[in-house]
Parts: sequence; structure tokens; C-alpha cells
Amino acid sequence: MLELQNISKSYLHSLQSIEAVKDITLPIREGEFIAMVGPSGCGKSTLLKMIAGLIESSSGRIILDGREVISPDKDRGLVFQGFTLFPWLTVRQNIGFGLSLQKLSEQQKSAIVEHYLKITDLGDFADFYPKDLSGGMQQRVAIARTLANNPKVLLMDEPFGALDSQTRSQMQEFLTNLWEQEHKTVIFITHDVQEAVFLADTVYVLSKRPMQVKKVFRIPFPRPRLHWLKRTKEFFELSNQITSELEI
Amino acid sequence: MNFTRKISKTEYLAHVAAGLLIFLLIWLALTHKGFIKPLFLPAPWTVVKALAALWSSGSLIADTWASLYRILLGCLASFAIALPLGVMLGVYRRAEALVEPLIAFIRYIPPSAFIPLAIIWLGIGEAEKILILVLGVAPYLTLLISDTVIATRRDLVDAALTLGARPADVILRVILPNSMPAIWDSFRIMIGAAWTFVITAEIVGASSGLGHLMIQSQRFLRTDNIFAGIIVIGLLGLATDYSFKLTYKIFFPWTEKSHA
Repeated sequence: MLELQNISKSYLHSLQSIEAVKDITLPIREGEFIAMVGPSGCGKSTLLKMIAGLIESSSGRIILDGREVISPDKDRGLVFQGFTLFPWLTVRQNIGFGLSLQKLSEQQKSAIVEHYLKITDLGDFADFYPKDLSGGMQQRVAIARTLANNPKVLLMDEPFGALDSQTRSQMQEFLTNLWEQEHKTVIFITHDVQEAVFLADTVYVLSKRPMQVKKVFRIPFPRPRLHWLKRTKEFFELSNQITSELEI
Repeated sequence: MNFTRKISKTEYLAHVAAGLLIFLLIWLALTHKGFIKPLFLPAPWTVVKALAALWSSGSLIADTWASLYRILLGCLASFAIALPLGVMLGVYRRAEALVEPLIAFIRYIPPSAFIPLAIIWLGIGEAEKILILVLGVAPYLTLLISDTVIATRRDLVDAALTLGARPADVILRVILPNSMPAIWDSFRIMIGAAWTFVITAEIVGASSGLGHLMIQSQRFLRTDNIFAGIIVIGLLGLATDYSFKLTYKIFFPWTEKSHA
């Protein structure tokens, strides 16, 4: 289980202390898919980077399975908004990057890599370099690269933010599908309310400066969730309700 | 004009040929009927003859090899120093503070200014030439490499860290491979500079090498031989440049530039 205990973060900006994140406390169930929506610049990415261990919090503790998070490690995989595949590695090598840092036999490694090539439907592109892939494909590889490491928690920082809307909804469906198979704990950050409602079990609405949890919504829609869900009345109403909460 | 910069390969080569032809024509015109005296500017064919004579006497090959050998050793030594040092400087701010000012200081001194000292220390043998080369090349190369390393995309490093990479992994498996194409380019540029240093060192005191060939030719007023030396250096430079561009495409097929 992942627990955030009274997480705060403040910056010093021209001799003034700016409170970016204020007193966030969240217990996150194992296997839960949570989405956090908030206005851009509210500090969502900062929170995610603190969970990843890339940034230190000013106060509070992050605890994963009884151990305090102090540095980045493979138990917390992060998928970034920008394209962060290693350009000098092929698709296959990118997916295997984390595995190649571990003591695994070649067979074990290639079995895992092949599994994710298949799941992400990238088999035909296994020997391509990132520069020859579309944005959507690159993000699929990035997700596969993170999952191949078998993290306890999957952190996603607006991973589809840089994609066009059509690719974006394809990727959302791909992700729900994947999650329904693997049931990882996911923390997904977005400013797109519909995306959050479509993907998550729980949606946290965040406020701006300092960032605090404003409201929590349980998403009742059954799984598997398919694309048409977005066109139902219930989906529309819930999305509207969350959007209005966000705008206050 | 649509600023696409796209022309066919044949058209490109035709322009290359035209450029060379214009250059040759100007040269021919200037030397026609002794308009400029051969002592100052020999005619093109005189230079070709001088090249042929130097080639058949064997001295051209021996001198070229002597210079090339020095460049090869000097550049390899410089690379062996600059790569680890440049990476350290780029990764660790403390390392930068410790040695960067010193390197910057050496960088501003022309390598030729070290020649008198190098001759006192090492005589006029190979070691002295290679020392001059290393003093000229290594500081620049170190700073170029450290700049490349500093420019490494932070998100790639973060991605590696969240995938479980340790500091050594980040350096060896992210920073280094990511920096290699730019380092290769820096190396290519510094080999060009290396010619300057080796010729200078050979002109001041040597018994072999293209610089030696040219200073001897000057003593005997053999302007044609000086031009022959210049042409050989230019051609070798072109060949080096081309082979670096070719190996760039082979070593770094993943870069956008590898398609250009």
C-alpha cells in the first residue's frame, strides 16, 4: 500500500516562500486506479515527482509497503508527459532497459520483453528507433518500458497530453484494457476530466496554489470500460459535476 | 525560393565540380604567362609535377605518415584524457570547480607558446610533438565534452532513475550514449585543429613530417613543393572529415542527422 502523509512542498522564490503543495494525505489501496485532476500549474507533477523520489518533499512522509520513499527506484515507475524513450535504443531495447539493470537471465529478459511487445502490439516495430515512431507508439513503448520493470506503483504524468485527440482516446482504451489485465496501483495525473473519469476508480479534484485535495469522486462505472462509455448520459453528468467542482 | 534546401545528388555534385573548376580557372588566369611569378604562385601543373616528384622519391609518403602518426597518437591521447575528464566535469559540479579554471587558462595559451618549453623538457623528438598536440587539443575537447554532457536531457536521466538505474548506470548507459554523437562531432572538429598544431610543431623543429617538408622547401625557394604540402594537408583533412561523417551514420543510426 502507498500512503502519503501530510505532504507539503514550498519553494523559495525571490526571498519569498511559495507553498506549492499543502498537507496532502492519501491512503491509496493496492490495485486502485486513481486520477488527479487540477488546473495546469497547480503542482500535480511536483506531487508525482515526490512520489517517484525525484524531488524531496518539504515535510511529510511517503510510505510504500511500510518503507519510506527517499530516492527513485524501480518499484515506482513513472511515465512522463514528454517523450522520454532513449533515442539510441530500439523499441525492444527500450522496453528491456530496466530489466538489463537487474540480474536476470537472457531468457527471462526476452520473455518479459516479448510479452510487452505483444501486449502493446509493437512486435512489428521491435527494431525501430524512437525517431521512427509516432507519438502514440512512443508512449505505448514508454508504458511498456515501465511495466516491464514490474513496479508496485505506476505513476503517470499526463502521459497522453502531447497526443492528438484521436490517438489520445485510443491510448485511453489501451490503458484501461491493460489495467484490467494487470491491476497495478496507478496514479494518473491529467487536466482532462473526461480522461480521468474514463480511466479511474477514484478521481481527486485538486485546487491551485497551494495544491490541496478539494473533493473526491468514486467512479461507479463497471469494467471493462469501452469507448462508448464516454457517450452515455451518466458519464456526461459525472464529468460535468467534476468539471464544475474544478472551476470554482 | 521556398527554403527547402533540397536538391538532387547529381545537382549537388555538379555544383561541387563547378566550384572547383572556377577556383582552378582563377588560379590558371593568375599564373598565366608569369602574371604572378612562379616563385610566389606556381601554376597548377607545376604543383602537380612537384607532387608526382615528391611521391616517386618516397619522401611525400614518409613525411605524410610522420605527420599522420603524430596526429593519431596525439588525438588518441587527448581523447583518452578528455573523455573521462569532460564527463566528470559535466556530471559533478565540484569537479568542474576544481579543474575548469585551470583548463580554461591552458586553453587561452596558444599551443605554439609551449614549444620552447616542450623542447627543453623533451627534445625535438616525437614526444615533444605529441605533447604540443595534446596541450592544444585536450583542453578544448574536455570543455566541448563537458558542455555536451551538461546538455543531457534531464527527463532521460529521470526516466532512467525511475527504472532503477544507479549513478554509474546513469553515466554509462544514459549520459554517455546520449552524448556520443556530439562528442564524435567535437572529435572531428578537433582533429582539424590538430593539423594546425602538428604543422606548427614540425615547422619549429623536426626532421620529418609535412611541416618539415614545407619549411625545407621554403629554404630552397621551392614554392611548388610548399603548395604540394598544402594540397596534401587539405586532401587529408577532407578525407578525415568525410570518414567521420560516414562513421557517424554507421555508429549513430538513431539520430535525426544520420539521414541527412
